[in-house]
Amino acid sequence: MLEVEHIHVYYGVIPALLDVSLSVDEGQIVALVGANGAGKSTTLKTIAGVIRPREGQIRFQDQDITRLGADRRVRLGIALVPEGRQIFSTLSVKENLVLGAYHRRDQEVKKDLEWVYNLFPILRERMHQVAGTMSGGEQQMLAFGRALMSRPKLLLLDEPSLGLAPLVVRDIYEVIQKIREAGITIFLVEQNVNMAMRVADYMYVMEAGQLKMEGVPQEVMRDEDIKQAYLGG
Amino acid sequence: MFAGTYVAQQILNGVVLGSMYALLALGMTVVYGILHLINFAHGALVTAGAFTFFGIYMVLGWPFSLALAATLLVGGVLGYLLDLVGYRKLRGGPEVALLITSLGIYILLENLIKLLATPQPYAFRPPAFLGQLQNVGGVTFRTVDVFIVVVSVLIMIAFALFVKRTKLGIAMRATAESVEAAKLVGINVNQVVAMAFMLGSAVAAITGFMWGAKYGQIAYDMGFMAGVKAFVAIVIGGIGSIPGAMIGGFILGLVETLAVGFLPPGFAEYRDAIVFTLLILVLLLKPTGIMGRKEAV
Repeated sequence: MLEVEHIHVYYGVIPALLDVSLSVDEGQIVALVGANGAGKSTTLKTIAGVIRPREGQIRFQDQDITRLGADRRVRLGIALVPEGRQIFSTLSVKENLVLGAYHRRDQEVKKDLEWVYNLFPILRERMHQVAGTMSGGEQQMLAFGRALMSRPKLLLLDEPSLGLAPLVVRDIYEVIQKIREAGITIFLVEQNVNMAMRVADYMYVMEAGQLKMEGVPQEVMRDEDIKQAYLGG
Repeated sequence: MFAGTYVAQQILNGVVLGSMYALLALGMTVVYGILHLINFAHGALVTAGAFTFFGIYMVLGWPFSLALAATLLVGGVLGYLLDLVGYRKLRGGPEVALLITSLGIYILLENLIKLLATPQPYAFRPPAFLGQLQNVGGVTFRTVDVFIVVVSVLIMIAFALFVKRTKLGIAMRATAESVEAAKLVGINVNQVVAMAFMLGSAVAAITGFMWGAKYGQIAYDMGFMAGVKAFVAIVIGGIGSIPGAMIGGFILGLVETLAVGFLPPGFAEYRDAIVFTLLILVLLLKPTGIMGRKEAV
């Protein structure tokens, strides 16, 4: 469904990604793990179209999207839940969700709004509240809901557990399972390797802008170096 | 002491002037909210609107309503072109580049109008019904004063509904908060910015008509002070805030008119100085303005 081929990304002269290639198959949850500053978020932002690669190609459903802007990619079915959520804090919860479906002209938007409210009942309760006044966990759910309103085929999640209490993290991961059951492919970036392992069908490990390893989670975790680095031996 | 009717008269004059400031401030603040650009070219749209109406109504002799619609249209198209030709390529660059460009565009437009219309002022004669004198309880005004206030309030209500209720309006507020997040939900930011310029410029063009109808005279440089005053209004109201721009416009109109009306004779010369003193006071005492957000200044 998504093929990233040999992309190189630079911030000015500083290399951020070097020759990264990966692919995500339809219906899967694929996780990208690695330490802080390894280039995980940069990878997601490049797929979402926020950052342009200097070299390489990105294909989505056999279409070359390397040169498309972020808003065009949303229309094709790629939605990013960014790190730090980036909800519109001065807008109401409902306005945030309505904007998620900004490009859609079909009649199913109302139905999807119901679906999102059922997935996150708290959002229905807070419908008219200004989004910036909600708790971190609630804002994360709103960011999910807003991305889902675009009816994505591929959902990109950047550190969905970051800064959230363990109980909230569990809720979030339950939702991720439900989203997969709804037929949406998920590409997930995490520092919380334990959580990522539990849901992922396939994993990539990134280090200093390069991919170090890939495989199914059990396989990756058998690797001694990885165990040392991420699971405390 | 001042008679009650005199006070009422001055307040009315202040509200009329304030309506026009509020309309200009509205267009300016929406653009600022998204691009962080103080669009000094906004004042030139006032001049362009006034001359468009002058040309179509007074020279070509079209009906009033058609001339008004054409003024709106010319304003909107000009705003779209300014964004497309002047600003679009500069986005993402330093904000000061946009600011300097807006000054350049102002100078270009002003001189273009000077070239086309010659530097002399023109007598601006709106339809007779607008010039009729009215007298309510000793306060005299012309129909045009009522027209300005009513149309301004209608435009402001329509605009408030637009940003509150329509998807494009919500997208405009979202883009003002974060361009990157807006792109990530699929908003075409260029389209939203173009819309902000078109709406603001169309409103500025209509304000140009009001200005001419109120003061009876138009000239190639009339927009300069109008643009600067609109800037003062948005600083008073809180830069980037839509309700703030409207409130700031009315406050400015009232302060300017009342200061001139109630200070001893001879001070009328200083009306602009009084306005800028107010600007300095706001910047010193409450730099975020009345409705401003913390990060605004």
